[in-house]
Amino acid sequence: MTTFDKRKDAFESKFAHDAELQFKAEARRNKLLGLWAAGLLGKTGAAADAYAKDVIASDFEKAGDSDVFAKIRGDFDAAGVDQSDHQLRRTMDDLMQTAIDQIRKET
Amino acid sequence: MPVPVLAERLRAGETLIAGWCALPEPLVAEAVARAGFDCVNLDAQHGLHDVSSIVRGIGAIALAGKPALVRIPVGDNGLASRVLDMGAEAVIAPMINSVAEARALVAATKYPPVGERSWGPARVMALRGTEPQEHLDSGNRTSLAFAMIETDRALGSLDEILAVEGLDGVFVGPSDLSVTMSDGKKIAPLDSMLDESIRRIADFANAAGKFAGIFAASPQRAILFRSFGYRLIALGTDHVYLADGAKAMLSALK
Repeated sequence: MTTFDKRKDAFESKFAHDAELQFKAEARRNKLLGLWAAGLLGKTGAAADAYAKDVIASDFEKAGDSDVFAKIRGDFDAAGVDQSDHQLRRTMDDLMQTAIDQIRKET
Repeated sequence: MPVPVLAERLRAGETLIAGWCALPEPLVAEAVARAGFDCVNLDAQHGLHDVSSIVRGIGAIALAGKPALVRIPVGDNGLASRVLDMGAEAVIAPMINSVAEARALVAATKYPPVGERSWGPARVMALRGTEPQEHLDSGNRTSLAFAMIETDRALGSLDEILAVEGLDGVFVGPSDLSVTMSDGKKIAPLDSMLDESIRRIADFANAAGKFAGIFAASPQRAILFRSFGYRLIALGTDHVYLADGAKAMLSALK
């Protein structure tokens, strides 16, 4: 089992009975991820916020988060941002944990 | 005369199928209401309805014992308040792409302290047989506000829009969603590429405790959307009901 799978299991067991928290955490993770990626893409302020919303919207295209990964991968490649697939996936996993922690503290 | 039922039936977990009227003729709205739909929407965005046809259309739909909804033009929150005064049980507001736009819709459709709706519901009280205090007490529960989610921008803010107090639900517009998600390249409301987005919007809405509504261009799409958890599904339009009925009768002669 990969680290990602373990975290996914932890996420699912924490939120299995609370769909609202799950969707909030997904949206929050995508926002945090979008802001992180925006920084690497040289975007600040309103441009960074707008990019984060684009990342949130990208998660509506396909089931799972392969759509989010593909969006940021494509934008990084187009802009020549030096982040490996592994680094991107690890950041996605780490920020999901951060998002879960933030949402739990707020509720 | 009918009492408000739309909100009550949705809160009871029913799935309601709405007729959709673009033709500005009360007799058409009444015929659609009598054809078996649970409720009827009058479309003042892309449909041909104006203030006069809306007030008469709502009366005709009430005569058939059904709830009326009205889709307003983009950003026309003044009309949102007016159609509720005229007796509509729900407003469907197109192109709500931000929290600020959702809040402005709520301000126009809900009485204080939730919103800023101005008092003047003479026609709706006449239709419902209610007194002023009764209407003030119940108005925010019986007059619903739906925000149309139909752009990629709206998807980026969906969780925040759903959290706006006083907003009762979202209503998906598959046509505009297909246009914005393809960067303006495709108008494809029936395209299965939209299905995952449409499913997730319902998941988000239901998780947030808000009603999920959508327009379905065909019964097959309506069945799919019902399986996704949509509870207010508008099916087809009056143009299509008329044309398909005529075509079916004529083709039966051949």
